[in-house]
Amino acid sequence: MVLVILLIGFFCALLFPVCVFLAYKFFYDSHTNRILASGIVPKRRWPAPWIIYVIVLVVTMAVFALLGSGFVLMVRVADEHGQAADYSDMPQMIDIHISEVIRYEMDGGRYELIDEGSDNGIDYSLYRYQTKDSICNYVIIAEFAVPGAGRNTVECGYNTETGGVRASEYYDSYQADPDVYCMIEIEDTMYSPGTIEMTVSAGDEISKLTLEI
Amino acid sequence: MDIKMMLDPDDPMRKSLEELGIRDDPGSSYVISRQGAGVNFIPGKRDSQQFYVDVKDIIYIESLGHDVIIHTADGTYNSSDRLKTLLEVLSAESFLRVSNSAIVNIKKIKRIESSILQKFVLHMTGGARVDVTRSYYYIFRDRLGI
Repeated sequence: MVLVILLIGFFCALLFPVCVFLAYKFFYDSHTNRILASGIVPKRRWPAPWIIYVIVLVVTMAVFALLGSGFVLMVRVADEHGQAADYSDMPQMIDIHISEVIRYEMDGGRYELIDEGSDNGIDYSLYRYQTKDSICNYVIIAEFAVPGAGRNTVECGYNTETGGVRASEYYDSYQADPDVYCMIEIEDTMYSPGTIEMTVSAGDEISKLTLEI
Repeated sequence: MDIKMMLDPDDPMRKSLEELGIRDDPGSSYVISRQGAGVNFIPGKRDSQQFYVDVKDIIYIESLGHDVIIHTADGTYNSSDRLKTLLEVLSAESFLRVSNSAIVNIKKIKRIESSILQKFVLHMTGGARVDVTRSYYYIFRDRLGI
């Protein structure tokens, strides 16, 4: 796309001197024919149209080179920001598992527990695994109660300085359940300070948990 | 002895030479011409007939291969002379070489059109177009003061 824009710009830059040449040529030819008809030679000669063309072409190409390199630089910077935003916008990044029977547990290994506690009726543990090149993987293991039958939703928002992304998962419960288990995996994120928000909508009750990362 | 006379029909030198028994032979390899002011007529052939073409009527002269063609308002004439020879006898005030193959009568230029390729296109009276080539570009500009 950038190449196409640059090519269009280049052709416009080529066309511009031609337009200037044609406009100047009109006046130059009128001037020349006036001299031819009158025979009076003016004191100052007008520069020939091809000289004007060459000058305008050189100036236009210089301006095009400046603007083009500026544009390419701008696109690169925008791409870098865009890549970061795209990366955090990937919905696959957040994977939510909910179960009434499976009690999720970390099997140790690479993940380290960085936070745990209970807030707004949600018991949680936050684990993190960070690679040497600052790629972070988070796992939240949570437990909450469901007050009765109905649709329940777990929503997770991952917000950092480079952007944010949300994902949600729901399940239907047929009765009140004091122990519903949930595991949220947030994978392959470039480390950046921010928050992980977890919202549990169980019946009419909405519980919200905010974790600093 | 026959000699090619690049002289006007009423030039006293022509009469003097004819009195001496020297005839005008356009095919002769000897040429006599008047230096400076230029001639008023140049010899030209049309339909195997010899004419003296009034230089005031010449629009341009072009060289096409081995032929030199004199273009006037009332038609074309062939000349047996080379462009260089004609340029020497024609008035420099009125005639100018604009390319290796053309001499134009400046007074017969109707319009000058510039080109992007360091050239001019001359629109002559009668509708002919003659190019001023790059080699003669500055000579032409200097001559016309443009």
